[in-house]
Amino acid sequence: MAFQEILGYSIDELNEGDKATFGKTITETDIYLFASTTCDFNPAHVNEAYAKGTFFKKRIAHGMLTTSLISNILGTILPGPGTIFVSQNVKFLAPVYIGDTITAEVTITELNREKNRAIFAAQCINQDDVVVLKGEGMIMPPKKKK
Amino acid sequence: MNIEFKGKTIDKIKVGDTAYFAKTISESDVVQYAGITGDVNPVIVDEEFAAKTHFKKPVVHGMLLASLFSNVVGTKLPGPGSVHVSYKVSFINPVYIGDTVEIKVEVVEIFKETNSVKMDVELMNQDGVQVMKGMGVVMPPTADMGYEKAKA
Repeated sequence: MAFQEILGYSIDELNEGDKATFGKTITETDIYLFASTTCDFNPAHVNEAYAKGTFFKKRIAHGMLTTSLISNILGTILPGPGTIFVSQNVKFLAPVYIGDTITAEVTITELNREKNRAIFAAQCINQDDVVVLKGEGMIMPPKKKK
Repeated sequence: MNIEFKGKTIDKIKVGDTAYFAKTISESDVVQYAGITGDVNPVIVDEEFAAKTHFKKPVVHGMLLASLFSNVVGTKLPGPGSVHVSYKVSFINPVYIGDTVEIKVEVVEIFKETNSVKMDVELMNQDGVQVMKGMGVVMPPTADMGYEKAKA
């Protein structure tokens, strides 16, 4: 396998306005695996009896789990393999429940070709078109030999 | 001893309150995280590929590290019942499988009107190198939240 073949888009191949999406139904398994990976067993995520007494009424997904779908796009689709995450800024706007289907969307908004840095805007939308998360961030797209 | 299954309400939080969590990042963490999120960037899951990057070996997902912020907020400060409102992080240095990272979260501002607190966050590796820093806004649990309310 040639190293260059699996690389994502380099900064010269990207344009402002480029967009990619990734959708996933958030399962109970995702939430429990995420809880064990991060050791975050906040009862709001893993305790149904407790969650009934919260504002949300049932277990919600970890916000960081939803954010991670953005990381999926960056690392596998746009710019894709070889991309390095530099920084991120996120606001959680609505809860995500078990069984919700979340579509993450990343749009390239700014390119600095000399420094190999790209700024992106991101959002996650549920099956009812409610925006559950909004954010932006900076990445380094993969470099390709000319 | 009666340990309350509830985090700190805003009245019990002070500026300067600090909490920590440390964890050795294992290969299973990275593989599991890749499976949950579908983020199989070869920088992270492909040793041959990673060997040719300037990191020389696979790095850990930045978002997996950011998720440790969620751990402290959801289990320690403010603790159970807290809700993350927003955050901002910068990934400064790579983390490799086998590294032990410690996250420090510190309360820097309290907004009683909106029941929210602003926190600074910092992640260091076993060599004292800062690998991530940032801030976040969190809503602590309210006094009437939890089992009692569920039964009512």
